[in-house]
Amino acid sequence: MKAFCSIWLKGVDQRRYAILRIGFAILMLLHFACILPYAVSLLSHEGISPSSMSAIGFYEITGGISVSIFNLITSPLLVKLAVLLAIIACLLLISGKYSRTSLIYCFVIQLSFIHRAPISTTGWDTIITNICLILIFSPLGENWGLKSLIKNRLQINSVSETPRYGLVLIQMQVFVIYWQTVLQKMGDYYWANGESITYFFLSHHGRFSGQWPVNIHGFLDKLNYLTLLTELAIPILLWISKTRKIGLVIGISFHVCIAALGINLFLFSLTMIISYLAFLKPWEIGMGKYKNISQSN
Amino acid sequence: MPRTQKVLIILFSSIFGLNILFGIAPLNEKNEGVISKKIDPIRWTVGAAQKWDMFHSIPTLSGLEIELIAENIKGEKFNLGPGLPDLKKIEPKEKIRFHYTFLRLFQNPSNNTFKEAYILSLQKALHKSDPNLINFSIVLHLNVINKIGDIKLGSDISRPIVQTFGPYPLSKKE
Repeated sequence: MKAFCSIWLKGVDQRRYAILRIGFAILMLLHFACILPYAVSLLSHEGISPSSMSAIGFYEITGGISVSIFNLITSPLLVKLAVLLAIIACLLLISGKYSRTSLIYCFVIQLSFIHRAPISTTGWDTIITNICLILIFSPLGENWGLKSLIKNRLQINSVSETPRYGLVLIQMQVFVIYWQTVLQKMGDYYWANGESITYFFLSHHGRFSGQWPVNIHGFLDKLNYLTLLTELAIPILLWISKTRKIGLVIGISFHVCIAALGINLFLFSLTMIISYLAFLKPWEIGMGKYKNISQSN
Repeated sequence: MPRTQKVLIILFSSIFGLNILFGIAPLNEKNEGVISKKIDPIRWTVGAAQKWDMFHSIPTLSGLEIELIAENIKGEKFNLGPGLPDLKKIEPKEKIRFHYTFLRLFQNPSNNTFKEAYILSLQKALHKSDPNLINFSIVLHLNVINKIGDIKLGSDISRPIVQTFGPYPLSKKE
């Protein structure tokens, strides 16, 4: 029981939460800025569907109840304003002022978006919603802003600790995201036959048009299976402290390649990279260095 | 830390952690009946859905264009944009959410409610823009990627497929 409690309650440096809070706020800021051009069309009563029909549609797809704020706020102006306020809330979250309130507001807008326009959502919408929900109930390292973090980056003493449950939950979430997607891909025709990457580059997602993916299909066929292995390996490598750096290099390179070679996938890649912040323990490395220095002295 | 706070943290973390771990079960039909069907509605409602199928279904379209063709009382046809509220033309490749939205609207029968809602919204917008219009159709121009083996043998990368939905009448009452 003690070991089980320790999984959640073991103390960690507050700054780990602060880094995650700031990284996640920057991600959400970009995310809401990208939603803004769609807001009137997808969320207002002058758009694609009225809120009453969307609520029925949401129930039919998910079985859930639509609790969208956009069922109440329906005019184009107010819808835009609500999304704009979410962008301002992200700025507050970065600064560490009114962090919890800002995060709750961002979550309400994000969840409302999914409930109001479920047919317009992307994979990263669900990831952002889940991480946001975990962070609402987690420590946020509010005492640490961007400036103070940089200024005190070498400080190892007198930083109070806080329970690590929020970080552990996000780590678990990253694990499940990668593993579930691989399990599903293994049952898919294109992934099973090594054709997925070739099709991806030929599709609307491909940044460079032309027949070139077919010409190097043999290589892309191998890349197909390597992608599955990479996705299986990333969370394990990130989890184990000795392999964390390798995991970070592989994971970040993997997602930078997706963003560079694919169109409209920047936010997806950024979402995954930001989620890695839950694994980072920069001050433990610092403490190690500090110990070595103090021992040598 | 107070004992109550510790208990709350452990309780919250355990429940949330379990929900995440259940997410490892793939969303296929065999498992759906056991786990997903029961807890998915709650997950979706509270924002804790575990649906991680990014790229599990590989895109097989190299391009998509959407047209709205409206006809007036004289039989004249107009090529308008399908975007609402202003009947603007949309570029699905640039605005990826529109790509997903229109494909899901017209290719997935489980989104029929949204399709009906969209058609109703279009009827209102078209009637408002020109009361002389009598009907309209939505035309999807899909570029479906050919089989890799066929492309190697000289086929084009994709073949055009045109799907027309409608015509939908414009009610005079609107």
